Amino acid sequence: MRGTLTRRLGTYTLLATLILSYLFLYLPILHIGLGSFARNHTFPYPPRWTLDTFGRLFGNSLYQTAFFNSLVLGIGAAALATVLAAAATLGLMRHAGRRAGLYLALFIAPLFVAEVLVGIASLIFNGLLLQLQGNLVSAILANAVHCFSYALLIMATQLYRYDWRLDDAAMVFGASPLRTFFEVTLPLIWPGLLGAFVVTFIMAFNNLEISFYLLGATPTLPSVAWGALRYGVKPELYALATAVNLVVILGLGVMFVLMLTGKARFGHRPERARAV
Amino acid sequence: MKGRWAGRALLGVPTVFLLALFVLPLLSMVVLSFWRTENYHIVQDWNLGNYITLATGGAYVTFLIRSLVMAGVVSLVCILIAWPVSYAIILYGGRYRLLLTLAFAVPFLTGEVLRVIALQGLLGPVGLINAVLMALGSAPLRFIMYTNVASAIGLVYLYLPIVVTVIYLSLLNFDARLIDAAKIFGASPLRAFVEVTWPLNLFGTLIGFVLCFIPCLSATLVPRFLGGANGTLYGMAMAQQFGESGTWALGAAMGVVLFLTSIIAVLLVGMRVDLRRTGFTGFGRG
Amino acid sequence: MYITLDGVSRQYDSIWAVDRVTMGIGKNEFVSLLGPSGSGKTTLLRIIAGLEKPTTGRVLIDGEDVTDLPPHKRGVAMVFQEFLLFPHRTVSENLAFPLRMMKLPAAEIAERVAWVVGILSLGGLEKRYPNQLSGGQQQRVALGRGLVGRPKALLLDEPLANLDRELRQEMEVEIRRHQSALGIPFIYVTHNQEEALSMSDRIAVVRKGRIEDFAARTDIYDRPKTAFIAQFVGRSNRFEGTVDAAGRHVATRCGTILALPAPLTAGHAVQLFIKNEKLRLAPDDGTDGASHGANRLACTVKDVILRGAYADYILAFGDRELNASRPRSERAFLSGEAVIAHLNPEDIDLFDMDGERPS
Repeated sequence: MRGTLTRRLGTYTLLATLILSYLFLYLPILHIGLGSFARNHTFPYPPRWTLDTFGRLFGNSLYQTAFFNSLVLGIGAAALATVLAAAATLGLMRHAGRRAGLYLALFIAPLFVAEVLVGIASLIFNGLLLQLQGNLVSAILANAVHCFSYALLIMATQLYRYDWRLDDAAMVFGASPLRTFFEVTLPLIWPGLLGAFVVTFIMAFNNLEISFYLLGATPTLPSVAWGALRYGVKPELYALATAVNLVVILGLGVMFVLMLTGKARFGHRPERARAV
Repeated sequence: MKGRWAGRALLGVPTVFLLALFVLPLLSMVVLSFWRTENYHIVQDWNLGNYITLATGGAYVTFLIRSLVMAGVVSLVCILIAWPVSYAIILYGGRYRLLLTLAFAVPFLTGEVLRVIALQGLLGPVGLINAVLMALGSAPLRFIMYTNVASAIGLVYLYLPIVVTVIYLSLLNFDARLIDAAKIFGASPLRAFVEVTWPLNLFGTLIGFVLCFIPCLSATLVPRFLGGANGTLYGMAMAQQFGESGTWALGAAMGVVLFLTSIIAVLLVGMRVDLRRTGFTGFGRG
Repeated sequence: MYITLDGVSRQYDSIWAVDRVTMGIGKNEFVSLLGPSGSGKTTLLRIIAGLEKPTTGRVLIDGEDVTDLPPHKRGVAMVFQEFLLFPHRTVSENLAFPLRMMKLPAAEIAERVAWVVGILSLGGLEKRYPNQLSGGQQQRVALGRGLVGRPKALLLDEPLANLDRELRQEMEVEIRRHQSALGIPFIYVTHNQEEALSMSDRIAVVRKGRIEDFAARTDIYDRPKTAFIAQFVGRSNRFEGTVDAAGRHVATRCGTILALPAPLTAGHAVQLFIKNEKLRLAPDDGTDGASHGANRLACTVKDVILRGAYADYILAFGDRELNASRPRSERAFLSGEAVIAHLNPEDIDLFDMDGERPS
């Protein structure tokens, strides 16, 4: 009986930690979410509903420009990082041989350098040595460096178990290397590519610490938000954060419904689930 | 021959990309750190002045030590929370494991600035916690308003998701049947954890630690908006050299110090661990 | 009995993976749980180990009711199909693990590890890590880890499934030898009838969570209790048919009349099995007058497969195939040759259509 008691205690502790952590993460989000829909935005309990804040946010041309720039930055950096990381992953797994460790060390090195250092170092390199003004392109390139390592990690974990003999098999049956890539390799690495793109897009879209030093006068959402934050929190910022959160939560909701209806499993493999 | 050429291109292009846009900028930062800034102009005059300033100016040493302590404490707290959380997700998550983990990452996906804004809504003088306390007639909590504690809470808030994700992935790839094996051979659940689960997930835990420690060490936003007068951290002070002060060379030297400190921290952690004893079997084709 | 299962059941969702199993296993017995995948044999083993809790029923080991005991207090050991060696420990550390859990003094641990390294010829591998070993070596270490603590029982979950055939046969002999040397019960789960037959004292055939039969291996093979066992153990030819009016013959669906070993009720629908090696072959040269009588089937050799000491014949009989397995010491037949296949009534196993022996 003692055994079951400690076991139950352990279970409760685990679940309590889990729930408290979710609360910790979501309480601020819920709080400003309510605030953004309320006239009394600093303490919306009970809220006096309004959509004015969102109206002002979406009507503000600065936020519109910034949103568009962030979109370009996110897509540009994510696309560059994903393509390069795909090449690097394939190269590492198939062609690196003995030097795999060396290449890997270089490829994941940006993970171990803080974002702000990447930003500052690029600023110094561009500004001092190349005499280049900061713009969206330099921000995309610097973000791509940081995103590259994350994309590489995501794809490497996806492809770790990929059986490369499938490629050989395709070649034996007469497929050219190019054809093999499109008919065998690409469909198999596709989920990794997509995952890497989505994650790196979100990272670059939201990035401030790198972009801040390289954007010059180009506004992006995080830089505009940062600028506004320096003069105190405005309700528009609550609305902005809430809008972004809603998009992300909507994505998760779609995923949940798909899993519930059994249309997609997102990597859940019941046969690997075991009793712990 | 064709395969070799493809291999060279696949590895070569990313290598050139990183050398040009990552290694060269870092090197130029090192070069600048040995120059001088005067009246917002760079003077190409090799000297150690920046480093001497950093070593003797008491404030900078304080900032560095404070940053190290802050990053260490925050990373430890994150690990302490992330372990039970990921373990609970693995144990009880069932088919919704991934979803639960992603739900943890949602705040992470909305960006640092917006998250700091959300945190101010929670911790600030007119934030949720203090507003509730005052509505109940009690005094506001001073230690969560513009203090180092507030910074620490903010950093935990920012980096907990990534630590949870890393430890969750480590646990996911861990063959839990090894726990069965340990129990069969006489290990109690606690002992099985110590003998099998912990060592085999130590590598993942350390990765989580490092991925939290390094950005915390260089944090700029959180101390600026949540920390108080005594909350200046090294990264924030460094950022100021590139903004208001315009002392780029000193900032570059601080960048070098941060970079080296991060590397040393990673090496210190890495050297204490015999990878072999964590079940690590090397990179390769698995 | 040393190990007793009393009405043990295990329910998953709405499925009974193990359904009211009652069996007893002796102190020095090698018992196999034989069944197709999904039959519940592994669940049964995990219940004995304590890794699963039975929904109903009791488990007794050495007179003690262990139903509510967690695995680490049961004193049994297990060898897993995937070996499950600790990847972060060397061979000797893996072997020492059960002993450390028993809190034995270091000297005794070293002595026991040396003993097990000796009997399993693992010498020279002590410092290696599991991923530096071949499959066969990993299997030996897993077996050694099972034996080193001198457990009350050793449970083996398809331990040879991941090994190649030659190595498997070698290990079968070795496992059996360790069992008789140690004098503890081995409970061996397998879907491979050859493994079960080569090592066990007794075999429990498991089907859909229930024990179909639990008997000496010769009984399981020679006198199958049910049609399922006849089908599953050994390789057989199967016929379906109806007992004729006199109750002495069966008219099969393929038009053959087969004589019965014992009379039965007329009109009874039955199924018959005859093992491949019990089918005798003679050349069909037309001299045998009774060549087309009961139990004598005129066939043509379609193909011959050499299996060392045996030859397997695939025979065309009407529009179906028969299989026969004959020692190479007998006369050999060639493809295309006409032969008479003879079924001795004594060798026929006869069942109802629901798989039971007719009463």
